[in-house]
Amino acid sequence: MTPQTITEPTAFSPDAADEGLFWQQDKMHFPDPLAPMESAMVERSLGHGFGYGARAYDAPIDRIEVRTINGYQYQSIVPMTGTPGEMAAQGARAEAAVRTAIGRLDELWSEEVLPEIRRHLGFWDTFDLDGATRAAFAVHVAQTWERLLRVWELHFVTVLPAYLAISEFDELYRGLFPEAGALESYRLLEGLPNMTVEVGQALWSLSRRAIAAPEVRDALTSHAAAAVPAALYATPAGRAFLAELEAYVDRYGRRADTWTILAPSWTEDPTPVLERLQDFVRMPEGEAPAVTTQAAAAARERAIADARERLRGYPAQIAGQFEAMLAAAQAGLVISEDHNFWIDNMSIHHLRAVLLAAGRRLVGDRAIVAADDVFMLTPEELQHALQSPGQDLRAIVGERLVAIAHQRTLTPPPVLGAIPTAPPPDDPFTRFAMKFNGVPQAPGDEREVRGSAGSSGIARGTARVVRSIAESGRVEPGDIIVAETTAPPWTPLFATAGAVVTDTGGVLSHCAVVAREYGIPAVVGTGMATSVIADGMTIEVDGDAGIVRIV
Amino acid sequence: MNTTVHLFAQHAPVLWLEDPAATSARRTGGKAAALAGLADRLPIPSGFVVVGELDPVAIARAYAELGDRAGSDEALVAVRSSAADEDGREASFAGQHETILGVRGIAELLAAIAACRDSQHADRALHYRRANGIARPQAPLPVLVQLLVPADAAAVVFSVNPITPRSGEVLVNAAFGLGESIVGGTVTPDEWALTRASLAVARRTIADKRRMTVRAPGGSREVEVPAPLRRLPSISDAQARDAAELALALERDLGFPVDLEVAWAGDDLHLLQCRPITTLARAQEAA
Repeated sequence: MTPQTITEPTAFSPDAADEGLFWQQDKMHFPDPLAPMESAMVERSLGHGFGYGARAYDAPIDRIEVRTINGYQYQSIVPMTGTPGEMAAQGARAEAAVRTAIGRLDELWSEEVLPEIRRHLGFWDTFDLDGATRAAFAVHVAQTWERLLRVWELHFVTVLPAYLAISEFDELYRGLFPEAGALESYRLLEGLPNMTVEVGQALWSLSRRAIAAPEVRDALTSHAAAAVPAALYATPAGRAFLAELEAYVDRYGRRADTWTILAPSWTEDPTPVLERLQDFVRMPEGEAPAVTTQAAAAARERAIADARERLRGYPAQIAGQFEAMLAAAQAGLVISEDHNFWIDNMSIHHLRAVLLAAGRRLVGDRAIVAADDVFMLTPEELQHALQSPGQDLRAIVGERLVAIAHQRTLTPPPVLGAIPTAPPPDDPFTRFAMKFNGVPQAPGDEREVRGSAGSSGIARGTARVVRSIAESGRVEPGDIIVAETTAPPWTPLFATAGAVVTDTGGVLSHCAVVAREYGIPAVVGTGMATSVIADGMTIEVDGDAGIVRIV
Repeated sequence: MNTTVHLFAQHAPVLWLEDPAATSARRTGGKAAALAGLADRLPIPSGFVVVGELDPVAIARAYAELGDRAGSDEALVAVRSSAADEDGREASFAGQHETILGVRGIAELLAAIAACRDSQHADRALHYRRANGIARPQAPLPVLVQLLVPADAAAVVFSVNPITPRSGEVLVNAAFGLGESIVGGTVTPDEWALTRASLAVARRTIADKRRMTVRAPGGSREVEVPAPLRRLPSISDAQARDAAELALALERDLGFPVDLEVAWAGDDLHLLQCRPITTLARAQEAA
C-alpha cells in the first residue's frame, strides 16, 4: 500500500512478478485514484471475496489478483489451465454448482446471507465509536477489517449466482427465440419490487407530502438544496417534515455516492437527497416512479404470457426449465439491486464511519490535521497510531495527498500486462462477465459513440456530463446523463433524466439494470462518451442499437 | 373378428391398427404391420393405415373416428409411409420415406398422405432400394396415420448394442422433443447402456444436444436447444430402464433383436415403431 513515488512521465506497468497476467482497470467501480485505506478495502473486499465466491462455485478461475497501480485499481482474473479433459471436468463441476445455487437463490439470500449481514451491521450499529476506550476502539477497528472479509465473501457467494441466473436466463431466452432483440429477455424481469425502487418511491411519497404543505413546498422550491434544512426549520410544518426527512435518511442513507470511502454518506451530507426531492416536488403525479414500475410490471406480465404462448408444443422439460430459470432470474434481479443496498453501500458506510472515528482520535493526538486524513494511511499505520499515540503522521499524509493529486491528472490505460490472444472461453462465468463489464465496441464515425445496448428506446436531449452525484443538481428533467459510471445511489436521478450514457459496464451493469427499471434508454460501456460528448451538446440515444449520435 | 370382416378387409381403403388384417405386411407395409401385431397389448398410439387407391371419404370417416378416440374435433396426427418391404428383416428403411408430423384437419391429412406417397419416388429412397437389391415399388404405398404423441422426449432403443453385440447391453439414445431429430441424425443424443441381465445403468453419456423437434402450428419444426439446457439429461434413468425393458420384452415376444422408436408424453411411454436390427448380422459376422 506504499504510494508510488512520483516520477515523470508516470509509467503504468505491473510489477515484474505480475507482468505475465492480464490486468483490467475497474473504472466502473473506481474511476478515481484510490487512497491507501481504499486500496486495502478493495483488496479485502473485492479481491478476497471474489476469490472466495469463485472457489465456492468451482469457477474455472485460478485466482483473482487486485493491485493499485499509480493509484488506479486494476484486477486480473487468472483463468485455470489444464488439459482439455481437466477443463471439461472443471466446467461440468462449475455448471452443476451454479445450477444448484441458482435453484435456491431466494433461500440463499433471505434465509442465510441477509440474516448474517444484518448481524454484522448490528455489530457496527451498536458500537459507541466515540465513547469507547482507546483499547476497545482499536479492537473494534481490527474486528471491522475481519468482518469485512466475511461480508465480502457473502457478497460474492450471493452475486455470482444472482447475476449468473440473469445471464443464463438471457442465454436461454435468446436460444429459444433467436429472433429476439438484444434486450427482450430483460423485459420479463422488470418492474419487480426491490430496494432501489423502494428508495425512490419513499422519496416520492415525501415529495407528495411536501406539496400538500405550502410552507414545506416553499422551503423546497425557493432555496438551494444546502439552504433547505434551515428554511424548513423556520416553520412548525417544516420542522415536522424535517423529522420525516431524517427518518428517510436514517433508513436509506447509510450509503455514499459511489463505492469510494472518500464520499460522505447521506447521513453525513443529505444534499443529494434534498436535490432529488426538489426535482420530485416539481414533477406531476403522473410521473411518479410507481407509475413507471406498474407499467413495467404490466409489460413484464405481457412478455411472459407471450413467451409461454410461443413455447406451447415444446417439451415439458424445456418449458419447465424456462419457468424455473425465469423465477431464478427474477430473484437474481431483485438480489442484484438489494445486495448493493445491504452489502456494498452499508459495509462501505460503516468502514468509513469507523475510520472517521479513528481519524478524530488521531486529530486529538495531533497525529493528523483532519479526520479524513486517516484515509491516506494504511490499516497497519492506523493500528500502530492507535496503539502508540504521539506519532506525527502529517508529513506522510501530505506526501500522499500530493501523490493522489498528481495521479488524478493521469489517464490510466484500460488494460495492462499480457493481452490474451485466445478467444474468451464459453462458460457461464465468462458469458456473465462480458455482460457485466461490456465488450469493446468498434468505433463509429466522429458524430457517433457506440456502446452496448443497455435499455430500450430512443431519446433526444441535452447532454449533462456528470462526474459525481454532487454535480447532479445540474441535471434537469429530460436531460441525458453522460457519466463514466453510475453507482447505485445515483438511482433517483434516473426518475428525471431522459436517458443515460456511460463509459463503462455492460447490459447487466447496475446502470443498465436501473435504466430498464425506470424505462429510460441507455447505452453503456462506450469507453469514451465522457471525453467525446461535451456538456450541453444535443444528443440522441438509441438504447436498442447501442448508439449515441451527436445532433 | 369374424370372417366377414376379413373378407371385407381385402377391399377396405383404410385398416385400423387393431384390425387383425392390418398385421399383413403385404397389405399395410412392414412398419404398420409390425405395430398392428402389437397394438392389442402395447402402448401404441391409435391409428389406421391407408391402403390401395386413395378414398377421401373413407379417410375422412376414419379421421373423425380417431378424433373421437382422442377427444378432439381435429386430432393432431403423424403421417408416415409404410412400404411393403420396409421394416422387414432384410433392410430397415429408417427415415427413407416421408414422415409428416403434427398434421391437423382432413385437408392437411389428404395432402400429407399424397406427399408421403410421392416420396416413394424420391431419389434418396430409390437409391437406397437399388443399393439393397430391392425391386422398384409398384403398388400404392401404404400410409400410417396415428395420433401424434405430444412428446417431451423421444428415444431409439436397441435391445442389443448394434456396435458391440456381445457386450450384453441394451442401448437407449434419447433427446428432447419429438423423435425426428434423433432419427434424422441432426442431434447427438444422450446415451444409456443398460445390462440386459439386470437393466442396471452401465454407462450414461449426456450429450451436447443442439437441436430438438417441437410441435408447431401446421406441423413440427426443428429448433436450437438453448445453450444452458443442452447438457441436461433428456430422460431419467428410470425412463431409460422402462424403454430398455420394453425392448427386451418385444425381443422375447418376436424372437429377434429389435430397434424401437419410443416417446414420452409426461410419464407415459408410447411405442412408435418396432423393427428388427438389420445391421446385427453384419456386425456379428465382423465380430
